[in-house]
Amino acid sequence: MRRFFIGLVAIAGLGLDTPAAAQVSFEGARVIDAIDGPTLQTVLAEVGAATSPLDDEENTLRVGFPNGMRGVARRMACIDDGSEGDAEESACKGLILLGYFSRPDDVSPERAQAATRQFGLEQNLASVVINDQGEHVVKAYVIFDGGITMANLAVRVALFGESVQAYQRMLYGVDGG
Amino acid sequence: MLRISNCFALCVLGAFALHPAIAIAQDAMPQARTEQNDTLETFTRDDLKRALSENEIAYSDHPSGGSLNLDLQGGLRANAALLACDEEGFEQNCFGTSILATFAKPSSASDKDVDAAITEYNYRQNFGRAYRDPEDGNISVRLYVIADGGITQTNYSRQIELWEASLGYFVGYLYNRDDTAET
Repeated sequence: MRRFFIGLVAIAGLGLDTPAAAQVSFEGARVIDAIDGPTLQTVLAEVGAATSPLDDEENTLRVGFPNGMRGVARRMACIDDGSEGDAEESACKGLILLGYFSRPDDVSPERAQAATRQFGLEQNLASVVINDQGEHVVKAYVIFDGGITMANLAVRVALFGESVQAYQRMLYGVDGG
Repeated sequence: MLRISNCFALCVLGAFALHPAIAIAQDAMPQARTEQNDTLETFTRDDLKRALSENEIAYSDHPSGGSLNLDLQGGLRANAALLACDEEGFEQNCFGTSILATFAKPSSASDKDVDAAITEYNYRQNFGRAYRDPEDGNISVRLYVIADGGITQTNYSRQIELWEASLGYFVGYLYNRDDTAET
């Protein structure tokens, strides 16, 4: 039986919530030079993604993209100003987006390697590696130095979801296997 | 809600076929450059040249026109092109910038060694992607930047800076130099 595994979550019982309580409104033209938790939640909501925190600080979120793909969004290079404020409010200079797959039992390691090569050749905004645990990890990184708009971030998040889906097709086959 | 609308026109840079980026609906983003906050909603050739100059990267017009040849740190060379433009050839209102560095396969390296270097780069480095063309064997490290929705000139320049820095690590991974820190 084909095994679809994407993200660090099971397909059933995801516990993903649409962030209805996001504290920041989406303003596409607003330039952000760091990403805090509420802003990330707002952008993810804008692209129709559902989220659930994976750590107390809410630096890491599991994400359910509207196309059904699952992934992880983790804020990186966070600024520690020494205050005792809410970690979710801390601003971070980077955001890494990850999607995880396991190799299906009926796909040979050679064919899986070919899928990674195909992805590298065709997809512009993400890369994929097979890590030491044998997981196939689709990755994209957003840097906020100097500033990007919320709309740019939203597009990149949405495109990452598309990239994850593209890799699913490559690894499992166009028709799902 | 932001909507993904359609694919940009397929653009080809030399022998390297690039798949299109996807644009958000036009009504969801501003169209004009906002000078006061340095935001670029699209790229122009001048924007690209400015970003290269800010990184002290020397450039010259590619003989066939269109793209720019770049001279990078450490004697590395690359090619930069604006893609997904409103009008092909005019290089105005372009939504994508692609910068490509290609590498020769070390004479003593097997395909497996090359794949290991590519994996190392894609695992450790965040500002580009490495890959090997299965047909011609070319080893490439590419940066692709999109302007959709708007990024600042500073961010544009910074992405190029970090990608250029990452190339030094790829050289280490590919040619076994002791230079394996993460960026």
